[in-house]
Amino acid sequence: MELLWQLLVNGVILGSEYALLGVSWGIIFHITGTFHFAHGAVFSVGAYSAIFFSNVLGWPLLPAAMAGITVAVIVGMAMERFAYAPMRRIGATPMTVLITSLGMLIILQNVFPILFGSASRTFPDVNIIPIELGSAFLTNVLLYKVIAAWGLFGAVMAFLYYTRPGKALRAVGSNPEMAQVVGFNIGNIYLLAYAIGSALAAVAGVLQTMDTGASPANGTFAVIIASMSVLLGGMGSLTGSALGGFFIGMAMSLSIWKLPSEWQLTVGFGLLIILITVRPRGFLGGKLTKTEV
Amino acid sequence: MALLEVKDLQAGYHKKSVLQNVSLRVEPGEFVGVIGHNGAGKTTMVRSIFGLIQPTGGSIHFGDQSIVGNQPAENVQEGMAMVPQDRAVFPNLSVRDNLELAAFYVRDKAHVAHRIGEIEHLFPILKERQKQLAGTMSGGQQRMLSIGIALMQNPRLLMLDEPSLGLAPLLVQNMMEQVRNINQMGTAVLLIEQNVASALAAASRMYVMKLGQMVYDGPPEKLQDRGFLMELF
Amino acid sequence: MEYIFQIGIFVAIFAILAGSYNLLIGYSGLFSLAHAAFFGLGAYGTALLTSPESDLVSTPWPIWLGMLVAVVFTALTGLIIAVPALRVSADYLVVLSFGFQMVVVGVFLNWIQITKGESGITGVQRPTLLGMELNSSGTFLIYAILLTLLVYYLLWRVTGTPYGRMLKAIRDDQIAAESLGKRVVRSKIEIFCYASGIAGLAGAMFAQYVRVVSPASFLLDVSVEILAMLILGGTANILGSLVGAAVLTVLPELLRFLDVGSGHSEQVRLIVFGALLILILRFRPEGLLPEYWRPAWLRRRQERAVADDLAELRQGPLVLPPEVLGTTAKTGRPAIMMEVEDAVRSFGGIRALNGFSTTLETGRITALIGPNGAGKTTAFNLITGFLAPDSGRILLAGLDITNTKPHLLAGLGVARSFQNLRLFYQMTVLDNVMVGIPGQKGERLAWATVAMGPTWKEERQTRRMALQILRYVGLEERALTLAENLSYAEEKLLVLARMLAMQADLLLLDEPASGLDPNSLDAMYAMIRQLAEGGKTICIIEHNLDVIKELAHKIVFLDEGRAFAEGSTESLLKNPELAARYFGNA
Repeated sequence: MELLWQLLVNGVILGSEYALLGVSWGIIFHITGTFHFAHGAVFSVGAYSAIFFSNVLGWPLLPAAMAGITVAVIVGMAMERFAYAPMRRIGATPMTVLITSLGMLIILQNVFPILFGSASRTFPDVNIIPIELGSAFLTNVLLYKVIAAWGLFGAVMAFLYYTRPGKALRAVGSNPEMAQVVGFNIGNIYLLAYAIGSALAAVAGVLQTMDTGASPANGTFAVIIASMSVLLGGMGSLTGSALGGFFIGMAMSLSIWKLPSEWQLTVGFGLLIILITVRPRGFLGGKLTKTEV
Repeated sequence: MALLEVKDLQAGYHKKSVLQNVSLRVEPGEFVGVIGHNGAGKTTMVRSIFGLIQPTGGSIHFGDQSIVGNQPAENVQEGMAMVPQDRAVFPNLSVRDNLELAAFYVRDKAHVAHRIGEIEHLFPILKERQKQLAGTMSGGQQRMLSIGIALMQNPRLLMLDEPSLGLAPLLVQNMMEQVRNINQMGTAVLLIEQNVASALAAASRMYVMKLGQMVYDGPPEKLQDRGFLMELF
Repeated sequence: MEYIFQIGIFVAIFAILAGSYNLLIGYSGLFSLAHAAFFGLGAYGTALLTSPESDLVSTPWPIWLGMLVAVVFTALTGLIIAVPALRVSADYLVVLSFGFQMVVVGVFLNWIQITKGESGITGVQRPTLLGMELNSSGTFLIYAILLTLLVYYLLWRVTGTPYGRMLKAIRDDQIAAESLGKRVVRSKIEIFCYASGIAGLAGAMFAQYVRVVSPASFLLDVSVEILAMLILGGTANILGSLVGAAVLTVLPELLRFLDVGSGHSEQVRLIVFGALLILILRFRPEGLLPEYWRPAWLRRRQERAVADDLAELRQGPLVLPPEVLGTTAKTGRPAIMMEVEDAVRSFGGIRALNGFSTTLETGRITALIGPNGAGKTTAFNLITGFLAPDSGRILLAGLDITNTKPHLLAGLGVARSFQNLRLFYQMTVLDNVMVGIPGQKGERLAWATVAMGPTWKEERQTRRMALQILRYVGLEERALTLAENLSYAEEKLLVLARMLAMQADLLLLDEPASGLDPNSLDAMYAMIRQLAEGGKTICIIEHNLDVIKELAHKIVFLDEGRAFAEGSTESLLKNPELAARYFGNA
């Protein structure tokens, strides 16, 4: 029983972490329609930049984290401005865009080990405080993950539903042609989507660095989880992306109750397969539209 | 000087050449109608003027500016607005949000609110349903919202692509009345229609398009003759 | 020397991997990131079944059996992601394959009792070929070359056959392929498992050569490397994959001599591969060998075959083949080919069809006219199975086909064209028509792979039939031109030709005449009339009243989702009430 409680607590933590990843990729995918796999590299840029500011330049943790997030936002926006936008202009096929994104991911993911080494890099001055929740243990950093995930989710939703730029984002996602007709600068709106998504990914990256350190493979793992969460949550729903991520994380954690912990990811993926087979549109997805004939 | 001057416009999709040297003119404050059979190229023409399609030849002048090659956003800045044929609203946003977003780049919030008030005066249903999600409204209501959206930035030229499509006759009548009011207040109107009668009743000058070319440019009265009209179609 | 043999063996392995990956990405348009995972599954499968160190089996299995089982197992594993993903869309495959790749490597790492985790399984046996154990790299290279030849034969049996042509059609336009009767989802799943199985075969060979399998050899990075090879070589060009594999295996080795130093060679390698992907797609997206590139002798042979067939056909009359005309097979066509009874169909709140009823008679041309948005295309979509009605029935020669899917309707003799043409633009004119011809045994994977002779014969017949159809519509001179290089009028003729290839009794033409110049129009009129006289049932959607006056025996006036009037062209066009409706009296 105590084990189950700990697993539930862990599940909330892991689920929240994945929910944040889902929302970070989802906002970009839902508004621009791009399979932005290089998002994994943006995650790593956030983590490693923060390490750079903290370990190399000696900044305190918070400013280093903010700086890292800023760098990630710039990189994410640069990818849209200098890679994706030009490709859209020349009418590149979706597969071309996807492969280019993959190329960017691979390049950056292999630059980091050269610059920072393959071993996990951590912040020098993270103060880890254990917390007890009944019989379960967690730490302050893990709690930050939960708070950050849902706090940022709430902030993004409030932004999208209660502010004009947010509504503009949703408008462009729902009817791109009408957005043109009304005179929106679509390029700038896309940049905003990438800025928000990249910031969220970077926050996730920094938090993970605080928890287990920054490793080269983390970014790729992050974008895989993020895209799986969005798929599970359903196309067209950001809340779905959060729920999808939460579900995967919770399922992975609870699976430890009966299975050895190495099997977490396999369980998570297996559940995804079963759910997608049973309900292809995902948790909150709209009807799967057939291409117009 | 004409408000809109299109000369020898050529445009198409893929390889299909739809417009063959189309010329058209709209004077400031005028109400011009364009009719013709399906596939004649009416929608292609409007979309080319607005910048959603890039023409392959010819010239387009708005005021004294050449606007060939412009993106729609630039044309909106210049004072052009368009109501497309279908799906012309943001379905998952409220009516009010739809109108506000149409004036996204306008800084003066009071001015925007005032303008919304004016448009709600024209189409009271939009005030009644201001919180409703646009996608849940009926076709006719959505059409009025689309016109309202187009009017938000006080355009000099309002282009409507088959606004009567899918609407019941009474609704079409109401809507056309409002469009006439808008025109009387000074906005030039370029009306593309399949519904000949409603165009003839409102426009002061008519064009007829057939197979990508203009085959008539003149007063609406002549087109009341059904035989003459059929020849043009 | 040993070193050179080793490189040769790795070229072979990657040639197999790149070629099979190309089947997915180039030929079928299916983007998967899991190719390295299948490579690994084949390797681990072989190791687990044939190595004495394996804990899976108490005694190692015979090498060939173990290899075979491993390959089949790998192919079947593909179903895990292929079925859920491809039932929906190729987009789902991207994400699911991404996850699958990671999970499989995770299994390799974590199922320690079986896979021994990070250290992997050692002691994989080398096979014995003709009594000789392949102990040296030199002898193994011979085996590797033989396997590569076998695999490339298998790849050729996909790409150079009707099956491959069908895959390309599905890739270019899935909806058009469905309307031609192709079983799209099934073919995608099939080819996915086939290609994954071949990747598994490469894995088996890899395991046998290196004799150790460990997770590090099968990471996502390897998928990216294989991708780079096939992109460099040329998407949808199998020979290109061989070239790409050779170049990207040999070149890094050469660069090794100009040592980059600092022990980051692996990362630098991957950075170069990533950069290569981006640069190739930017500056030469078709790769070294474009899709339709063939060695000159092969191209000449194909051109000669076409020319010979044409020369022979030209000695005969300019008529459609009997199968297309339908006089041989079909006996006693019913007078009424199609009936629509009270069809209702809504989209959201809008009723596109509100009790639409009509009949289409054999040998007659019926025109569907009406204002925009009146429901004409929706009616076509219902008749051809792309949409199901909310209520009402559709009968084809008395048979209820109301909820039948498009590819089945194609088999029942229903053919349609699309307003936006939907040609297979990356294929030749001839291929566009050939893919329309039904009943090709070569479109079944098993048959195409095994029955080389019969497929060849069938292909010749299919080609002749297609060329005769092209003669009829006047496109035979352009037979080997890519569809994307045709003029608009030629494209419309090709659309008609492709429809005719289906040997259908019911032809539904969506704006067949729009955008055509007067000469092409006359040719089109003549053909459509001739087809009706020959017994075809024809229904056209048209806006151009001139066309309707020329062609239609009967007009159905569709407005507000119903057939407002039906009658001969004369009577309808003279009817004042209808004219009022058509021109819109508010």
